[in-house]
Amino acid sequence: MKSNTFIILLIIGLSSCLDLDPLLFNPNTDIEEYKLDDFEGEQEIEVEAYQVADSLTTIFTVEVGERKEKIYAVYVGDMDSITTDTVILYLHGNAGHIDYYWPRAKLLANVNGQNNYGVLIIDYRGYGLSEGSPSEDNMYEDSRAAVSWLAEQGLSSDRFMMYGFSLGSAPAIELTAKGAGLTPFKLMIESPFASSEVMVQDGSGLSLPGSFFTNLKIDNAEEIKRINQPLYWIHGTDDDFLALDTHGEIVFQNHQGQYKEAFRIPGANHGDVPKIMGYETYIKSLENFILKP
Amino acid sequence: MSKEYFKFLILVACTLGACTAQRVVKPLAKSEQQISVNLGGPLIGFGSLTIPIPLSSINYANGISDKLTVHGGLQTTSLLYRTFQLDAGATYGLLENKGWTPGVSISGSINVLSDMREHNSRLYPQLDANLYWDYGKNHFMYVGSTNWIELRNTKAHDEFQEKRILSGIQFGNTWNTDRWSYTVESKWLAHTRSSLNSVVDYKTYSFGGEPLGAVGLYFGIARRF
Repeated sequence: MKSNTFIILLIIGLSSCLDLDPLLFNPNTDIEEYKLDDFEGEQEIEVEAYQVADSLTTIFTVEVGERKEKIYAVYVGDMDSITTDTVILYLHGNAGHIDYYWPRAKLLANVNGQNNYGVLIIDYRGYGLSEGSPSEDNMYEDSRAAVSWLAEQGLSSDRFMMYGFSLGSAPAIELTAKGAGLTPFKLMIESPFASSEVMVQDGSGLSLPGSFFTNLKIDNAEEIKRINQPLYWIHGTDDDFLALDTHGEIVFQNHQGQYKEAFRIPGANHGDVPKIMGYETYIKSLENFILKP
Repeated sequence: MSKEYFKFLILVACTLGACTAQRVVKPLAKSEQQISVNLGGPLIGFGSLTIPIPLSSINYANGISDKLTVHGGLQTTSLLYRTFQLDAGATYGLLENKGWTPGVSISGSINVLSDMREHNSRLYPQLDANLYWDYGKNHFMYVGSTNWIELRNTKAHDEFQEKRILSGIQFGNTWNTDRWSYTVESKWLAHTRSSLNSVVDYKTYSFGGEPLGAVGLYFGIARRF
């Protein structure tokens, strides 16, 4: 009897030891200030040919959550003309921080000409210099705060677009599907994640549910069914992290809107799609998508 | 997303697949019982080293007759992340080893998996077959096939489930003493499936430049009584 009790207690003890979820977020907080163009750390792409005017780059903070924690944001564009400009909210991936993704923000700021569109990029809580801890809920809340800030500056839905890369595809799709004060008139996603269930099934080769391993609720493949806005999807064929077939294709396939464009980039991996596609081609594809009536 | 997180996720997902060593290859004698512990898993690159993922299980077997052994096991590693995996089954000896003619055994098991987060459950039948040869005084070696059967018609997001069998090929060696057994086994897991674009650096065999599945290495120790 004693041994049975011991075994039961051992099983219960073991079964509460590990939780994978804290391992999900991979923020880099190893910076003291945002350096943007002067950042010398690792970046997956370099875009020296695509610059933005220093005078049109503003670093600021927004308070989020009950604790009023500060998250950092960079707006690329004239903050005084947000009432009339078209703006792209760039929601970045899991690695690094704003400096790491700065080349990507610059590419967007060069679509249809230098500084033609305003670009807002944020660091979620726990990333870069942003206060607080990263979590799925915080990521959504921080993204909503960014949308609210844009609305407060005078942006309207008909001039608002969102671009989500990798992890950032989750808040981009979530906020587009459920609304966040403003509703983007177009959505762009790069190398999106379908769901934790897909990841688990890719790994195991069996139809295991995501809940066997994680509390993560991200389910872009289902959320995107609620989106009618035109969709731009780009993904590398050699993505060894979020596979094209099991992640990107499902998200694209499940979009129910009337218009969508797909770009499957041969030879591109997870983080180098614009580079392998060619920056000019990438920018032109975005321009064509955005300008399409 | 964090590659490190998902590497880990995939690795632990593997613990619930067919990434386990054989429970019983050679039937026990009638009334003989056995408790065993297995440790090991797919080989992965870890820095400059190649190591097996340290997955573990505890198993029990009981010889109903000289040909039929029933057995059950608990995956202890999966408990660490709040998922139960139990298996129960039987191994039947079809032929005994005589000279170069191998002994033949077949096993049928049911794997039951359930998580403590959302209480989702899965059930997978498993069919294994092994050939074994006794040699020396206390050794036998074996080679065989493991097959997990996928019962569900769809996978995530209602995608059609095309692959209904997850198979592996194993070979191993067991050294017996009076009461103890020591086993080393290698298993080529999911050998029909490409691992070309896997985020995990599996060390495995390649054909035509395409890596297939994952190669696992396992160690087992058993006490009979």
